[in-house]
Amino acid sequence: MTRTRSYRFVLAGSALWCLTIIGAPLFSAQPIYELFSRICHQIPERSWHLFGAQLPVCIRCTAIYAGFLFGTLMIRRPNLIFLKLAATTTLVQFLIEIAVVDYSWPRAVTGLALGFAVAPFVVQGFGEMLEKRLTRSSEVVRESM
Amino acid sequence: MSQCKECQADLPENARFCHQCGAAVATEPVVPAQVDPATELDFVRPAIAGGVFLGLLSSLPVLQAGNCLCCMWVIGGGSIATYQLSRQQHGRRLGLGDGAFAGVLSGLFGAIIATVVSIPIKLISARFLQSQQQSIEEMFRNMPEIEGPMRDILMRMLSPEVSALTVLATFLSNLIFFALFAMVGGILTVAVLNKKGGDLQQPPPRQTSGF
Repeated sequence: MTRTRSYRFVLAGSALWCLTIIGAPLFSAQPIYELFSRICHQIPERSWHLFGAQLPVCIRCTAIYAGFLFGTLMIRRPNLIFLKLAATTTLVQFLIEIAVVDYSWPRAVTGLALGFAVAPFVVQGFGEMLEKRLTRSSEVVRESM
Repeated sequence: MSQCKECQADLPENARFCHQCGAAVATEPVVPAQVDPATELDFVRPAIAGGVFLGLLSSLPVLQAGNCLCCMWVIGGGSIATYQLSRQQHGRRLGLGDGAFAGVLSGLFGAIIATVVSIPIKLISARFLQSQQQSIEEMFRNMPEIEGPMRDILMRMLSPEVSALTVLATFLSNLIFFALFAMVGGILTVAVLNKKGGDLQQPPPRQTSGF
């Protein structure tokens, strides 16, 4: 699998992931809520609602996944400074919301930035992993023949 | 101070020719720190370490709530696996793909451990939950903001039922999420570790273990 294919795979996967989150309230899909309950607290007050129903993940998670999708589409080159900045901002915002004040929009903005920064690293890492594993597998097959 | 191989005259540092006889001074090429290409990375042990970490913390009551914070334990397990893997690399950098693979493997091990550990925990807590079933239903009646599918999920999570289907569903969901998020943890750990040792760059190609 080439890098382009692995990139398309990550892009399709993240798009499907976001569509699943948006689609869950539309179809009242309980299995999806149950699935995402393993990775998100799903507190109603901390989640966005669509057509009167709660999304299966909280605002921060939704923003991270949306940011990841945009990051996959828009950035190709991993930037560690941007990643550290986004992670630090998210952490600071998390501490502020515990200690001082909690609004939904800072959670959304910091989550969006974090997902955006992480995406190119995942695209590159996933591509490298598939490339190495497939090369290794084809070597093993060739040796055994 | 080195000497000329032809006339044995003392040579100043960085001299390219001997000032006595004019012979060229053989300089040793600077070889970048490189490991024997035959060295194989052992992914299994680091992955087990990461898997035990994330599997236990994701299945123990109360502590498992840490995964609601951006899958903290799962990403942490992938990071531990990758950090352990980096310690096998004597002076050479890991690639993001190595971190991703170590993370995926630790996620797979973690999914098995979490599912196995959650069965006795569920069975132990079953008697307590059965005795509290009425008060749990009362609690939900007093929380009208939790409704629809969310209420059903919480009720099911608190129900003492342990069946093959619930175990299978738990295992499959663990498998998907743990492998994905531990992979992210592994990749980000490599990015940070590589930056500590210099710029982020592609490692030289090498052989890896049979996995």
